[in-house]
Amino acid sequence: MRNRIMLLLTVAFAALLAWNLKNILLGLPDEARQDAVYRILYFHAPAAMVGLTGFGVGMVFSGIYLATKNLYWDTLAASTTEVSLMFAAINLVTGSIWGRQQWGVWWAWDARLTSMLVCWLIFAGYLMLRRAIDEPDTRARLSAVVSLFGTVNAWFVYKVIEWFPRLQHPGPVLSFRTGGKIDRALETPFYWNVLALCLLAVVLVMIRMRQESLTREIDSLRRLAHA
Amino acid sequence: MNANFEYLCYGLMAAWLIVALYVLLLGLRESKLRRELDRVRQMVEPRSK
Amino acid sequence: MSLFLRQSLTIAGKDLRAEWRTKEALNASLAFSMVILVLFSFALDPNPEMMQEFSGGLLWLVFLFAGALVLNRSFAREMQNDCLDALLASPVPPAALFIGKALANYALLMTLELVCLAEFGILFNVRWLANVGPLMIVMAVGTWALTVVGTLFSALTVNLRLREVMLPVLVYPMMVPPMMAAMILTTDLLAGTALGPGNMLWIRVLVGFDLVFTLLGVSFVDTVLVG
Repeated sequence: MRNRIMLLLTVAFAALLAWNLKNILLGLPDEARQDAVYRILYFHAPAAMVGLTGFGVGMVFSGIYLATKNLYWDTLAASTTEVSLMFAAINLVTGSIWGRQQWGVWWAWDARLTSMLVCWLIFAGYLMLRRAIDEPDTRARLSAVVSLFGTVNAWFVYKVIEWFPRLQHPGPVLSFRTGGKIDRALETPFYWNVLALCLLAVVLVMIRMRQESLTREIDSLRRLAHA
Repeated sequence: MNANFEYLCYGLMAAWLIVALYVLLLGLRESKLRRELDRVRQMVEPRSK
Repeated sequence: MSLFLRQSLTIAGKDLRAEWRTKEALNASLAFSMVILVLFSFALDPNPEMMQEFSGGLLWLVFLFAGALVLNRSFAREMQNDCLDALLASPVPPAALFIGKALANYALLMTLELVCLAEFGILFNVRWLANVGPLMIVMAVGTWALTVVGTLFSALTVNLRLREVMLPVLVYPMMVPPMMAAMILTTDLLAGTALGPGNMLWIRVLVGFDLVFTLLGVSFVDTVLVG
């Protein structure tokens, strides 16, 4: 059942992605100042959205773990954070490539990318911490606290870095931030791509969860073997 | 076709390369786990018979 | 409440007394900070204009690096003879233990920072006495940010194999928002700009960070130490 859902979601993701790629690459006109390269942003920004949301969702799962002490929520939190870290990496790399084309440098210390990098480092620390602890309950408890602190901190980073002098980022363009200055034809593929990446995230989290249940099975069998 | 189409390609390639690498990593981890599971199962099996 | 305060002060007193007898953390961090300061003079040309721009950043980097040594010892000191278990079994609640340890660390870090500041002033010819009042305020709030986050993560990493590595990996990214504020403010003050409406924002960032993370630390230290 679970594998079938996973397969279904993967197919849905692939179809949606193909359709999006066609729309974005062939259907959209080149932008006045940026020509073709602005299309990276249709992957760059959704990756950031999915990544940051994932960190937040990971924090919620960590909170639920702390409230219930059920290890299921811990593995869910770890899987979500790991997948979000991958999306954050996509955001960083595509942003850097876009910056290379637009600003001439790979890394311009622009505000959003820098805050994403800091978030990335925080949650990379979270995964490193998980590897350093063997005992499942301790690992779950401590990493849940790190996830909570990390997410609150990520919010601080995100807010504060905007005020730092000399850090620039292209202003908001989506209509929910600006009140509708962008053409609908440009905006619609963007949201479809957010959906596509969300599907991908869900599939990856599910794969990751299956692995965690395998690990648990191995652990319990091993305990049986040594008993 | 213009010059910065090149960077668009790099960007998309990089993005999906990261996904591919992550999936590869997941696959490797999964096969390692499955092998481990088989090994442990064999360890347990003779005892349960 | 007064009981809580008394317990915290007892813990702080105990820590400071232990530190005073061995001076292990303070000596190491002072020597370390001195070495960093000397190395900085080779890393960049210490001429007055350059120093005006970099002084705040350099100073806080020294505090951060040397501070990690102090913070690492804070809970690691209790590992010998299972002192941590004894402390947790005592009637002192974990929150009081945390505040007490934080106060002791705060005193040590402030001592370290004042010595560093004096050294820094002499070695790099920075006139910090001109604005000493506001500078002390910035150092006081900035150091508390480092102290609460550092103390909590010191408790979190105390049982890990990779304790010395994990503490900086987890704490440094989290210190980005307060360090950004503290660096800007310190650079301003050392360059002769007074605290005013222009940089009040950064004081607010520091105070906000202090409040949020003190609250988080007090509420989650239970989870970290006991479970």
